[in-house]
Amino acid sequence: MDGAGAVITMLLVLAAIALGAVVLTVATRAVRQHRARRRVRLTAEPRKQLVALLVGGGDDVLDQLGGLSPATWRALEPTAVAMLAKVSGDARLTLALLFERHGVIAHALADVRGSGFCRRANAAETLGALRCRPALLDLVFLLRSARQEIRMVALRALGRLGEPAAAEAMLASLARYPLTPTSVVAYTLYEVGQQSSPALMRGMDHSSPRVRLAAIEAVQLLGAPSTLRMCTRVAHALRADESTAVRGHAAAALGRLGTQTALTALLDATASTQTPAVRTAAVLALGTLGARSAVTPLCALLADREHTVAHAAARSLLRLGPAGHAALRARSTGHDLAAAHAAESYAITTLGDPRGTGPTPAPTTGRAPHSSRSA
Amino acid sequence: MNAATEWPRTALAAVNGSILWYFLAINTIQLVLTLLAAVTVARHHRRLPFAGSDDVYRNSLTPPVTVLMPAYNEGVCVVDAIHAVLALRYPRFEVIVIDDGSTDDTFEQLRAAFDLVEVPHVYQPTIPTRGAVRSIHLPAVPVGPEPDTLMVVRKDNGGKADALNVGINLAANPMVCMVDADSMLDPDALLQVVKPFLDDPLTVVATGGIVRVANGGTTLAGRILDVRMPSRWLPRIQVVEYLRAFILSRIGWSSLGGLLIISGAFGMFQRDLLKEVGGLDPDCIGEDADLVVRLHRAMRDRGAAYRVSFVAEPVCWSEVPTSFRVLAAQRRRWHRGLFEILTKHRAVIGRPRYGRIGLVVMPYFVLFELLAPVVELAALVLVPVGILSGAVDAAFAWQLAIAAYVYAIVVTLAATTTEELCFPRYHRWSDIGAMVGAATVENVGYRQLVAVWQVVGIADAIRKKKSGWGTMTRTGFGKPAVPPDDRARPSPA
Repeated sequence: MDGAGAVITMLLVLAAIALGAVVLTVATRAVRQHRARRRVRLTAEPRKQLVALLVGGGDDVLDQLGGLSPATWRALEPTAVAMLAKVSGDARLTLALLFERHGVIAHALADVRGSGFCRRANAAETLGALRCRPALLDLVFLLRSARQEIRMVALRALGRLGEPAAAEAMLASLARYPLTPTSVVAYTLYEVGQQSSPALMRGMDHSSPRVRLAAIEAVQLLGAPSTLRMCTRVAHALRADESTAVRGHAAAALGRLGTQTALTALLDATASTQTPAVRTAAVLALGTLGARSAVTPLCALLADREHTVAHAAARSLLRLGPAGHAALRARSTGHDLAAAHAAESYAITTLGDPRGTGPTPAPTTGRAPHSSRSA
Repeated sequence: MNAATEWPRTALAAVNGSILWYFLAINTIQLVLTLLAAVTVARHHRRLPFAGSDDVYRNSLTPPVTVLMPAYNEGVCVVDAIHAVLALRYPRFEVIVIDDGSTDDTFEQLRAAFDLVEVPHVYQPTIPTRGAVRSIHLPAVPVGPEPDTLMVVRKDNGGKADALNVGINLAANPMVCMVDADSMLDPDALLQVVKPFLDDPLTVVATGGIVRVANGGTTLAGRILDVRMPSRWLPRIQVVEYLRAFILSRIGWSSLGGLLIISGAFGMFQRDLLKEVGGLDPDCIGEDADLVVRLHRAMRDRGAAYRVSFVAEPVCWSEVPTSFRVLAAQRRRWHRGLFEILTKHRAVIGRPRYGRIGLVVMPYFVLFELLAPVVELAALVLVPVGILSGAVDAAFAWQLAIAAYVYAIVVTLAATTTEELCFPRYHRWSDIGAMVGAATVENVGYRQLVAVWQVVGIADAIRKKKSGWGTMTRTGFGKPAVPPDDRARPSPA
C-alpha cells in the first residue's frame, strides 16, 4: 500500500470508529430516555397504589398490585425494592407478599442454586431483603463459595434473616476464608442478636485470630451481655489474647458491657505492660463505661508518657459527667503536660456555654510541658 | 548526492518516523485504558445491587474518618465547602480545616460562620512540619455529634503538603480523607471511597475517587444539583480531557494494579500508614502523586500484598480554570510536579522489585506523560522541516497528522461514549454535541498550548524555580448568580 493509500485507509478506519462512537452515544442516550419515560408512564398509578398498600391498604390494593403485568411490575420493582429497605413490621410483610405474588421469591430460590455469579448474588440479596426463611440452607451453602463477593452477600442476607442457626456457619466461613472482612461478619452476627451468643462464645475460643476478632467485634456491637460468662470471657481476651487487634476490640466491647468485671479488666489493661494501642482502647472504653470510680485512675493517666493514652484519658474524663469535669478543671491548673491535656478537654466542656467560663484558651503546644501555657 | 548531505535527511526521516509511531502508541494505550475502564465500570455497576453499600452506613464498625481540608486564601468558598462536607452521609467523621497562613479573609469567614472559639490543644506532631501551628479553634456550638466534629487550625504558611501534614498529625481517626476547599463531594462520596477498605481491609492502603468538572453546573449549598457542559470552550475542552486522561485512564490503570496518582482533591488513606511514610513531601509540587508513589515503594519494600484503588462511583466536583492565564499556571505546575516525582523516584523505574509499577507504569509516565509535550512540539517543528528538506513527503505528514490528531479525537470520543454507557452525568442532547465539538477542538490549538506550558514546567523544575500553592480564581458556589463565565452556577432560590 503506498503512502496515499495508507492515509486514506487510516482515515476511513478512524472515521468509522468515530462515527460508531457517536452513534452508540446517541443511541444509548435515546434508549435510556425512552426507558425512563416508559417507566414513568407505566408506574404512575401503581406507585400511588404501592404507597397506599404500605400505609394500610387492604387486600384489594394488594390484589391490584399483584395483578400487574410483568412489564409493569418490572418497571415498578426497583421502587418496591427501595421501599423494602425503608419499612418494617406489617408494611414489610405486605410488601414481601407482593413480591411473592409476582414470583420473585420462587425465581430467587431457583437462581440462588443456579450458575452465574451475578445471578446467584442478586438472588441472595433478594432473599435476604425479603427475609426469606426457606432460603436459609441455600444461603448457608453460599458461605462456602470461593468467591468473596458471594460470601459477603450471603453473610448480609443471613444477617437480615436473623437466624441464630446460621451464626456458627458464618464464623466457620471466616475460619475457612480469613480474608473475609471481620467487620461484615460481626455486623451480621449483631443483626442475629443475642441469640448468637453461644456461637460467639465458641468463636472467642477459636484458634483463628480472625474468628476471635469477629466474635469480639460482634459482642462490641451487641453491647449488653447475655451472660456474665460472656463478660468474663471478653475480659480474659483483653488480658491474654495474642492478637493486639483482638485485645483492642475486647477493650471496646467491655466498655459497652458495663459490668464490674469490665471495669476491673479495663483498669488492669491500662498498665504499661500492654501495647499503646490496647492501653488507649482500654482508656477510651473507661469513658464509654461511664464508671465514676474510673476518675482517679484516669487522672493519673493524664501524665502518661504515651500521648495517645494521655489524650484518651482526658477525653474519657469528659464523658464521666460532673465528677470527670471537676477532675479536669482541678488538673488543668498545673503547668505540666498532664495539665495541658486536662485543659484541652476541659475547654470543650465550656463550648456552647454563653458565659464562656472555661479556662483562658492558650496557644497550641509544642513538646515541652511549659509551652502549653506560652503566650 | 553525497553522504555528507544525505545523513541529516536520513536522520530527520528516522526521527519523524519515530514520532509517528510514538503518536500511534500513545493513542493506542489511551484507547486500551479507556476500554479497560469501560469493562471495569460495567463490572462495578453489575455488582452494585448486591454491594451492600447501605450496610457501610449502618455498621458501627465502619471506621471513622478525618476529613482534611487545607485552605489558602479560600475565603470565597470555604464556608460553603465545610457545610457541604458536614452534610456528607457517613456514620462518624470529623473535619479539620487547616488555614495555611491565608492573607485574605478565610479565617474571618470561618470564625463568623461557625462562631469559632480558640481552645488549648496538645499538639505532638509525628510528622515534622514547617509552618508553626498558631492556634486551634472549635465552634462554640458543636456542628456535629461531637464537640470537635469541626476543628479549624491556623498555622504559618508552609504550603499545601505542610498543611495536610499538620492535619494528619491532628487526625483522631484511623482513616484520613484529603479534599480541596473548592471540592464539592457527592453525598455518599465518603461511604463509597471507604468501601474498598471494608471489603478488603488487609490489603487496601489508599483509594481515590473521580474528580469531575463543576463548571456550567447548578449548585446549592456546596452540592451540584444539575450538571451541564460549560458554554465556553476552554472549560468544555477540559471536561473531555478530564474524562479521558484523569478519569478513565486512572480507572484503567487501577484495574491493572498500576494506579500512580490519587488526586489531592479527593483521596482516602490509612492515617498510620501516612505517618509511617512521613506524610506528604512539602518540597514536592506534585505532593499527591508523590505520596502514592511512596506508598507503592513502602509496601513493595515490605513485600506486603497491597492495593491502591480507584473507585468509579463517588464523585468530587471541582472548578477548572476558565482563563488561559490560570490554566497555564496550573499545567505548568502539574508538569513540573510530574518531572520532580519521576526524577525523585527514578530508582523505581525499570526495577523488577517494584513489579508493574517499576516495569510498566513509571516507564509509561516517563515516555508518554512527561515527554509527550516535548515530542508534540518537536513534531510541529521537525515535520515541516522534513517536508521542506525532502526527508519526508506530504503523505507521511498526513499520516502523522492522522495518527496524532484524528486518532486522538477518536480516543476522546471513545471516552465520551464510555461516559454515556457507564456513568452518564450530562443529560442534555446539547451536551453530546458540546463533547463531540470539544473532542475535536481540543486538538486544534489547546493541546499545543498545553504542550508549551508543560515544557515550561519541565524547565521550571530543572531550574528549580520557586513555586507555591498556585492561584486559582475562586468564584464560590452557592452564592447568588453572577455573570457568566461558566462558573458553577448557584441554584435560583
